[in-house]
Amino acid sequence: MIALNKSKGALIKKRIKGSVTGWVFIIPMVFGISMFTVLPIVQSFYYSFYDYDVISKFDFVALGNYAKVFTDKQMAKVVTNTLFFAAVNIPVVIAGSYMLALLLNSKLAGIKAFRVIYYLPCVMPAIVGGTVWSYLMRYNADAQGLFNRMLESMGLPAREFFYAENLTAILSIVFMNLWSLGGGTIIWLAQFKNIPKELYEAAEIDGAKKFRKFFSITLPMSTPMIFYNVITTFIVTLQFNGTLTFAPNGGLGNENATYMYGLKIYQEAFRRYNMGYACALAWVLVLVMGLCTAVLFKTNKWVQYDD
Amino acid sequence: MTDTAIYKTKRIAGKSVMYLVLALIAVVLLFPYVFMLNRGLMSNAYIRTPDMPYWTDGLHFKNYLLAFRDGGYGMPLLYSFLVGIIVAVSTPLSSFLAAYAFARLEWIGKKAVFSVMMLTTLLPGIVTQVPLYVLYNNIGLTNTLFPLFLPGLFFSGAMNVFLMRQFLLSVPKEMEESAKLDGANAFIRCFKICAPLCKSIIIYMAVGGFMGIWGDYLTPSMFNNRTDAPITLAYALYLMTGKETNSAHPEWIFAAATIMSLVPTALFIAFQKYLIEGIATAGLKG
Repeated sequence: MIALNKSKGALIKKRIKGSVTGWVFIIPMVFGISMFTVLPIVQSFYYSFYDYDVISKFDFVALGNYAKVFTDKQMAKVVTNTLFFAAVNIPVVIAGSYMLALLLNSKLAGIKAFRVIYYLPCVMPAIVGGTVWSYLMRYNADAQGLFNRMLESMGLPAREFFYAENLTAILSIVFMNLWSLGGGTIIWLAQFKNIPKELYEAAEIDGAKKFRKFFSITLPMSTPMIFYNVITTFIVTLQFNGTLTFAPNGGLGNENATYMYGLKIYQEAFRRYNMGYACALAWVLVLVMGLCTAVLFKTNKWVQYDD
Repeated sequence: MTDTAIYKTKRIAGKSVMYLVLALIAVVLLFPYVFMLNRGLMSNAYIRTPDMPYWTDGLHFKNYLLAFRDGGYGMPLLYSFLVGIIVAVSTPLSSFLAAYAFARLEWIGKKAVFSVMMLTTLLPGIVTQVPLYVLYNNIGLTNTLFPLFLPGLFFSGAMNVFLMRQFLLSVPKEMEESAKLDGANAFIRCFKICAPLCKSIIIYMAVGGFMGIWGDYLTPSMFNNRTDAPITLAYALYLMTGKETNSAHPEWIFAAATIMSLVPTALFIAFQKYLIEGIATAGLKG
């Protein structure tokens, strides 16, 4: 009995001693995550109930900021733009990078060099890409961009690209995004490697041709990744504020044609200093993302898990 | 023609078509790159003609020097390197410390800390921006370079820690256990034995961290509102967006942009093995 107590005591002692070492390792991270992630999340929720401008104003407005999300006159345009962008961008990015990956998955000599080249546009910093694209797509009667120069030299009328005042401005952004398809391609290629070779070998014995192999093996085996990519692309797309780097009027576009939800939060927070309202906008976005992700998970019957 | 000859010609034709398609896409993808290179090499008089030429009128390499000496991109370039190096060291280091604690040590509260960390991945970063601004504003760090690297000194994202932990779990424990018997403490085991085995993921995080902060124009655009604040190259270029037409030296913008792209491109080519592997695992495990 005494021996048992002793060993139990030693065990607790050992556990506490071990914990000290563990906490020495983890304390920087716990400090960092508390200070720069967890505390800001809590504060953000708290601020969303206040009219707050950082300098002097800090008035409790209850659900006022949340009500404003639905009464704000700009919101109709912002939401339309964001949904349109998501509806076009997500399928284009996923299907595009998938097709590119199929192309790069072939066993030709020198295919590795092509893989590097296709990924290069993703290495180019976004701000450089934005600068270059704003030159390529510029629409200005006195100083047309390169694309419009080319169109004019072919006798075609100049196009407005992201200087347009309607949804075609957003189509130009999707077009621009085609250049960074290589990012998703890397992940697809890794996924293809994980598909068991035996499946293809068995199919070949059965005399399956390329197309058959693709539709019966490659595509179904990639559905878990397709599903995962749909969700992550969806989350990134809804927060997109990259128009800051190339669209006119500080990313808003002409007549707010490229004004999207991510940029709206940015504008309210760092241009107008409506901090409380910006926080409320962010939390509405979180709620929408959460709901949509839940719906996606409920409807993922088409995903084939290999168990 | 015999059957094999037909088969051979068919195969060669198929291959040629593939190469043609691959090359065509490559040309399209490199088109903006080459455009940038050309404009960075143009003479001032030539770039300012309203014709928007694609090919340069000569190789004015002097632009690279002038942009950084007279164009105001010199200090930002230095700051970019400074911040980049800090982040390249702190990202793998802070992630490794935390990951080691999660993967190898037993301590009270481990499960709770791990769950909180994984929960933060569910919330988009956009939520924390406003409180971070308030925080930096209160402690006088707006208009400095600190917001770019301060959080990463302690914690550079749940994804990094998680990936590092997964990697560590796949590293065999035997070597550590024998070192433990020889009396090596946790720090020695972590840095002398484990770290060398995690070389590939450490390189991935160092290079990835550098490239991320190198291109970060958004953080300074949120936390800077004074014109005399020290800025990085990404933010210096960001300040020029929409102002190119007023600029007296547009060729300097493109010279700076070329250098700005050259650094991550060189890093990518040098470390592509580690980067591609890392991006793929991040994508597949996440």
